[in-house]
Amino acid sequence: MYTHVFDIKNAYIGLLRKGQHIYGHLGELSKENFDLILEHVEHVLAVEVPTKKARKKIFSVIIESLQNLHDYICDACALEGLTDVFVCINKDAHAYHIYTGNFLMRKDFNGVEARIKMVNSLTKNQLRELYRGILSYGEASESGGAGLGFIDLAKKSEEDLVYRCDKVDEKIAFFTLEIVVGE
Amino acid sequence: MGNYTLKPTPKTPKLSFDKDSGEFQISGRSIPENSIEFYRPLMGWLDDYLKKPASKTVLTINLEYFNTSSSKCLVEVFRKLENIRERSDVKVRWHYEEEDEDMLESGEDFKKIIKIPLDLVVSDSY
Repeated sequence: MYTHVFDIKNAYIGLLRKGQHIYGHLGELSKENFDLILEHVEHVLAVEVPTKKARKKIFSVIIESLQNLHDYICDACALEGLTDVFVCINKDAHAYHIYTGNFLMRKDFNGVEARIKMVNSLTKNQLRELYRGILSYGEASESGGAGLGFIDLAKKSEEDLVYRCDKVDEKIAFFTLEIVVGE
Repeated sequence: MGNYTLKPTPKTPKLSFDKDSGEFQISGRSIPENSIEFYRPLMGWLDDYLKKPASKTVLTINLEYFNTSSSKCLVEVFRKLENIRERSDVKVRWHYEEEDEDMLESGEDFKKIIKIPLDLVVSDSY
């Protein structure tokens, strides 16, 4: 039997130990879980985050991130039982750090990485122009997104989007994304 | 053709489109997983409205949250309204909370890409 070297639980626990932990979810992202996560996050933010501005930004990032995750959950990963994802919100002295993690096909990672590198290379004004351009002329995807997800996250993030990719096996990888929201 | 109304849910907005007064409203949260599916019936209703619009059409948008896929659908709604600006006095009123820079920025972005007047309106509450 093939044993996966990568363990999502270890990756998740590692994040819980970074900074002050505010919220975390590890498990499948079914429609029910999706709605529950949003409900829990909103409740936690109301208690833990003092400014409405930060609460709204974090919640917006969570919404977009979860929908991004939903779009990237792949059939091949599901066949191997790799349907778990994680979402985690931590706080340090200066900002809130939102982490998401999901399995994806290694061949799909190149496209994801290229998009993140592209948005990271742009200034906030350039991101805004790109967003407007796609909104105005881009074709919507099946779910309606038109590839705006990473651009929106980059617009809202205080810093570059941080990502890493861990090899799971020859076909599948685990992708972690970090978005930083100011206080 | 009747009016088009839809009650809000935690993930979808209240839709209130009155064909006689031309007063339209989208308010609450627009974060459905599939925005195209959610907005499709409204697009169909708008196509009928465009055939015989009211003399004045005012679309008020007062959203707390919206996802990127909804933003694409909002542009489609605006594009439809652009088609009647010769026959109806069309205006969009985009509400945002004073401290909500992202919502203000979104309103400014829409204002730049659409061909109908869009007023940015500061609101106290949703």
